[in-house]
Amino acid sequence: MSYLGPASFYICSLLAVSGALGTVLSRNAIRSAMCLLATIVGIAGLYVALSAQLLAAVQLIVYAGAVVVLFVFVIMMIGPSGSPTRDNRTFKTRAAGAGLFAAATLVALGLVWKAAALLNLFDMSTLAKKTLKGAPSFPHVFDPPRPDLGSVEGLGRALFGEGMVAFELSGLLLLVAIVGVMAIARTRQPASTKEPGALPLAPTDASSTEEPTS
Amino acid sequence: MISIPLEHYLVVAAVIFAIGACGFLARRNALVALMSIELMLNAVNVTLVAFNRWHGDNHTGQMFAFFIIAVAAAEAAVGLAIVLALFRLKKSVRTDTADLLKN
Repeated sequence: MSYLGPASFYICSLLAVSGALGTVLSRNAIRSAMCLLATIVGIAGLYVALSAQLLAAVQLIVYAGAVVVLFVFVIMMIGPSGSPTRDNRTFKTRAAGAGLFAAATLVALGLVWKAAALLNLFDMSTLAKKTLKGAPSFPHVFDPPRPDLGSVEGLGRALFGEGMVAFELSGLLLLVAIVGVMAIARTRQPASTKEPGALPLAPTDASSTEEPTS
Repeated sequence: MISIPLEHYLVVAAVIFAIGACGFLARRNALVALMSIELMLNAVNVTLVAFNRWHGDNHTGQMFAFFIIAVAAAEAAVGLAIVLALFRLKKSVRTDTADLLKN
């Protein structure tokens, strides 16, 4: 049901990785948003290959339907200054950042190497003695999935069973995000156009006398 | 039957996460920085779903990915509102123009 063959994995991962590269590297913000859309579609394909059908649908609806559209709305509102080309960092700042990043990459590679060595040692010495065949299953090939893995019923039962409190809290989080977005992005235009001459003096006097008492 | 092992998914997720991290650190456009955050969250989701496929007897990883999608949607909305407020203030979305606390 969920097995699509290895070609779809390579197509989807190629789409996702090239879309991610395009998102980061392109100079135009709207092109970045379109490449982000390609990445999201590729990752939804990976979800289907991993037998997470409901998550693939949710990914397409939430990301491709809401988040990317929101990005495109903001880019359109901001206009051509949304993709600035000038960069006023000096060469020394850039070199320091690149050096720091290269050092962090080397440390991370060393840690990964050490972890892989530890894992190999563990597999060869203890696990291979226990299992008589002595083949540590290094490429973790998946077993056939349980039939309800990732289905609406299975994930729904998990969400409304053990994840009930977290589910309700995520609803509360979305509500708080709505209120916060309205508070942050609200324009202050009516307050600034409220000239003293444009309005009768009585309400402004009332508000100014009320302000210190409250 | 040739099947894709777990490590391939993890490598793809790590590559996408690294690209997103580099983009977040290197780009000066606030919109592209937010998109890089979305890339990193998506890469983490791929890792969670792949490990859930490996431990297929429960739905914990997919549930976690579901909540991450909800948090990412809220984060994108609030982040874009902050970018709009920054644009109203500075007439630019470059992150190095947000230096009001620097003086």
